[in-house]
Amino acid sequence: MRRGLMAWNADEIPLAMLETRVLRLQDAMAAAGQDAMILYTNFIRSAAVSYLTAFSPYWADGILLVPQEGAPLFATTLSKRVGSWIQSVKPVGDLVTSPTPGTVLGKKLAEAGNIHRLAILEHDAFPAGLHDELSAALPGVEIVDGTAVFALARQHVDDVERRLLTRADAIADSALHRLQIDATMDVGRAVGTVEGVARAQGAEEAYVAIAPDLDADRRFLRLSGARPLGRRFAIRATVAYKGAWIRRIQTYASDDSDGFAIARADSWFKDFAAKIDRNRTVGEQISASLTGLSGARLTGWMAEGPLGTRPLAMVASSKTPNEMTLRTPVLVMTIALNVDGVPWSGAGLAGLP
Amino acid sequence: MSGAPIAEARRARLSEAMAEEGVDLLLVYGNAWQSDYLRYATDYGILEGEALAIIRRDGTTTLFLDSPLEADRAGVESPGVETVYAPAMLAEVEKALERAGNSRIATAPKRLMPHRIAARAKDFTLGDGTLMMDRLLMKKLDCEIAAIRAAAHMADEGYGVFRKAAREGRADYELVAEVEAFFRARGVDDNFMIIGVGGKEVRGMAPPMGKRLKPGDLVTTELTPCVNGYYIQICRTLVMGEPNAAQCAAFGVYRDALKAGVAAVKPGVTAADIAHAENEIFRAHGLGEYVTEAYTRVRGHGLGLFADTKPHILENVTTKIEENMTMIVHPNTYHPEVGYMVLGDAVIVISGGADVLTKTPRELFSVPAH
Repeated sequence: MRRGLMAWNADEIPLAMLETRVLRLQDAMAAAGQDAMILYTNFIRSAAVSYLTAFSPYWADGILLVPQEGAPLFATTLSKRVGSWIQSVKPVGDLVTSPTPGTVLGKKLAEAGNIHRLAILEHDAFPAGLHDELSAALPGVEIVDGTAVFALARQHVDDVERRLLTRADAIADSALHRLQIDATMDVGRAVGTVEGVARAQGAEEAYVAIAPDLDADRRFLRLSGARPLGRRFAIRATVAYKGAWIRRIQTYASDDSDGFAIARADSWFKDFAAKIDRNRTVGEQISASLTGLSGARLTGWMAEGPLGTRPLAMVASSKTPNEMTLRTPVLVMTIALNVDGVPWSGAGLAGLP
Repeated sequence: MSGAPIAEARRARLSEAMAEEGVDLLLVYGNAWQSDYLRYATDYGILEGEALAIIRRDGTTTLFLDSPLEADRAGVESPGVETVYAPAMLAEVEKALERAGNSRIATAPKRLMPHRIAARAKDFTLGDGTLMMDRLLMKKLDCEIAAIRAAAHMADEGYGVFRKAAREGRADYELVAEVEAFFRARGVDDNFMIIGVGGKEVRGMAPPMGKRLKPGDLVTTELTPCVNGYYIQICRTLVMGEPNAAQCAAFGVYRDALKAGVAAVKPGVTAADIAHAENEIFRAHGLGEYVTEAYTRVRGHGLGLFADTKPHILENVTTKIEENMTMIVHPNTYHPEVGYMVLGDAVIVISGGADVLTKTPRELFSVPAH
């Protein structure tokens, strides 16, 4: 459940910028002949509504109605009592609370009388209960998928998003670097420290995962408690700040002799992430760049970014190296290497436009 | 990581229920918010992305995950199920259902099933398995009760951390951060936590908004750590500084209401009976208006693999209370003289009544403030 800082600040996210984003979507809808769009949100699929309104639910779910003209309207299953809190952190549009938000918005659209084609973002994945409510209230209205139209409007990265991403990245970086490795450090203390530091700096969300012994297994797990750490381990901090999501991974080693290889890989990653070219496939760029890191062998990679309702969705990976990443406006890279025999994993924001 | 024996016991019980209902194949949806159906069937605690699981009557289970990170983790944490990383999850599940031929298929929870699957309800003759699973989720197995009992101390310890973290000038999210650091280090999978800071202007709890604690503030919280998938909840209120007479008097109403609510818990009563017992205390003090939906959502609720499961403790909910249900009784609401106050304890329904799990004293706590 979402339990980090959730507050709207007009200096950080100016209302005018949110309105510009809504207008951009409305223009795309008009061009596609879509009279209105419905966007789903819960705290897992929060990206689209958060991008347009600065709001994501900490619990329950809701749908945002964006008409082709005029202000959006948000309907949620969260209780009426929570309404004043929602409006204090959601500066865009009005709010209705109802156990049947689809029915409420469906009736509003029916009353408008000019809705012939309703788009739903990620129509296939839209919850059946809400879909039934909407379609029952809108007989004769054509329901289409709005995913491509939303993606068109979402391509742009504005200054606000850039600042929020930078802040999320700084929170994760600082949390991962706060860790002081000593002989008493165990898995629980390591992940607890990272999560605590990230949240104390205002992270809206912090998912901390660990690969406690990179020599044995490179997979990141939600482990905790008094488990021992291996000679080499890595922690992944997935951090959200005001709707902007990033991942960072830091590799740690107890032996000083491994530190040099890790530092070289960290430095390479920082340089690579800063120079990534979104107009070329990521796989070829990694391969080319790694020629400059002696003793390095690539073991896997993944490119993610906000896509539709998902704050971080995979858009390309070492299994699909030729996929272009342009369909997401922001890129978060995860890369795994062996450098001089030392397993290394890294992740971070890449090529922020 | 969760305990495999509980997972096996749950799977066996689910298979029995499917046989009783004539269901050959169950399709279950889950995400990190509504994760209980999925956790019951697969023992997997999902965090990112979405999942669908196909459970056959013989217990064999295939878990489809649309996030590669989750698929990695599930491969380790849920060894009893077949894990499939499925970037095109809906299409893959659709194909699997097509291969199931004339099987009798049920889905749960029906309202969250993705439209693409639900739209083929007639092709697949999909039935609604939500009620079947709701019954399993509400009335726990003995091994589930034992796990919940063993984990209950975590709610008390978490509240202890919260009290120590509450200091004048600190921001509400910093308190949450300290609790989370403690929980995360101690193996807590998840935590539902909301907070309220202030006086009469505070009408409820929400995620932290950056408010700083100041003398006289009421600081309320609902802490709900999740251990091996099971949520335990505690609600308490503290005052920054010495509580004043009005705060003390108001708190007495909540303490009496909680006592009355817990005393009403026993097998055979309804959820409404428990709510009525709590609300009567407020009515006796002329506070009847403040137990309506304008001021409070529920007077308690079920606990288990979901932080807010059925039954909801409300005067219009007629669900029968049975042994081995777990719930929180919390007469949380707004008080017109002091603001929003909370007080609640988690209980297990036993043959003789309620076994209270949380041990933190039912006090209006005080934290030094200048």
